[in-house]
Amino acid sequence: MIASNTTFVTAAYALTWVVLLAYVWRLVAKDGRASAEYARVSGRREGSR
Amino acid sequence: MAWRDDWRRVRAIARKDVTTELRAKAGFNSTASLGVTILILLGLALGPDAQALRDAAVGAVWLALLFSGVLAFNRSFQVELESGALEPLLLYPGPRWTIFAGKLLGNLLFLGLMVAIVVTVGVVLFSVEIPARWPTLLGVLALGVVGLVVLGTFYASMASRSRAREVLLPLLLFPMLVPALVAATTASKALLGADLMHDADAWIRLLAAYDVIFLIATFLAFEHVIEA
Amino acid sequence: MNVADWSFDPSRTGRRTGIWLVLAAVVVLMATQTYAITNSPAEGDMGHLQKIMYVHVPAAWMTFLSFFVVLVFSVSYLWRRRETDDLIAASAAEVGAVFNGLTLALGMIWGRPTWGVWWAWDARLTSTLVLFLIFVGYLALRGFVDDAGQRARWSAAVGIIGAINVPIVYMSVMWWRTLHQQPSSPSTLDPAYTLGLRINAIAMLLVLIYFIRKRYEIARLERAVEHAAQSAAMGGR
Repeated sequence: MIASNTTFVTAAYALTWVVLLAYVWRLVAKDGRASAEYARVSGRREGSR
Repeated sequence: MAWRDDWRRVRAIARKDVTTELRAKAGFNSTASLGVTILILLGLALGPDAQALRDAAVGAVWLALLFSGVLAFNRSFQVELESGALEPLLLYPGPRWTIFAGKLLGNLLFLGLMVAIVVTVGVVLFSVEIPARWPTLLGVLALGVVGLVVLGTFYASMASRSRAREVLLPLLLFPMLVPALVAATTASKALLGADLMHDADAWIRLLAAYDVIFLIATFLAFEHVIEA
Repeated sequence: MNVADWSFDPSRTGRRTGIWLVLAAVVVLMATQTYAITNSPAEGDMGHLQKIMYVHVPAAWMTFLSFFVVLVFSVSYLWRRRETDDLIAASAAEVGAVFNGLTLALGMIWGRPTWGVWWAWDARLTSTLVLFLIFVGYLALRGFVDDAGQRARWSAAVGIIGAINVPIVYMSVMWWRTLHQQPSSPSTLDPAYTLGLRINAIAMLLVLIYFIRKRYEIARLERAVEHAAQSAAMGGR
């Protein structure tokens, strides 16, 4: 038995939002790590000069 | 004159690769054995019904060629890398595309021999009846193998120099081979059956176009790939 | 290698504008989806299932757009050898893979109630899947190559050769078998659905721009770190 059409439509929109927001979350986390790493590296270079 | 020099370079590289393979037959024997083993496993998985096997024969042979071919392509560059011979090879004068052409020719000979063995075993194991148009069928096989070797050699030139070369080559190569696989198997099936719709010719043209397009594209791209 | 154009200072490029872009994209997407859902009449054959189109079709367009960006910047990289081109191509590839995966999943959710199967081996589904595999191969290659120059040149080559393959895959699978409906483009659609589709595509485009921009900024940071580590290993400057 096939679930009702509304279920499929809801699933499609829910999935879209989950995927998009998860990727935003991943980007923000990655950005945080990269920024921290960059600050660490450039700070060390300033220090050694 | 320059053209003849280039051709001599191509031949020299191909001859060197083939000689290396002939001296140490282990590489050829193991890839060919793997191809045959895959055929046997597919036969066991799909059989024992004779008609089912006959229907699956084309697909089985092509999958066996793809999976064993992948090993052969990586070998052709791996041998250079292990002996540190790729750098000197790049230092030799002359255009870089001759290196690619030489590798291509070497792999074509190597794989051609392997294909002959695997296809023969496949015909026997899957009890394929040779159709009247068998020369065309051989042509389809040849065109398919050329496509496989062109892209296989090209991607191996990168994958073999990366970490994780064993997974990377099939990951890059197999999606690229989708049109060749579809065209070669469909044309072969049409030729093995009645081919009432005369489908085979259109597929053969597609396969030939695929080969030409990627032959040109990979030759152009190789200059950028091989750069140290 | 031109290390010269690597005067990247994250504190000066106004990176925090990203937050406004993402908020705008989210709000606009919510608004366009609400508009499209409430303003489209139930379609004859599919009823309310048609509403999946407003996410599925824009996601598919963004996939192809990303791949086009990868192609353009890969060609540009091989032409001019600017490291930024390589990073834009790589960012677009990752974002494209996300949209590609979403497109496939949404296509399946739409296919199940309309065709009765989750997966059909038709031309556009199959070539979208092959495109996904090409994206995956491209990203895997980048992950497995350490030298930045090699990584850039090789992935550019893979991107270009992969792009050449996409129309060939499409053609071959179309001849092989097909049952997909006519491509959904505003011209083949009932005008009742056109506006909804167009504004949703624009909203999705905002999301795409945010994603690629943000990913590109991160890639630049990572490259700057890589360069710093390299010059430190060479004895420091």
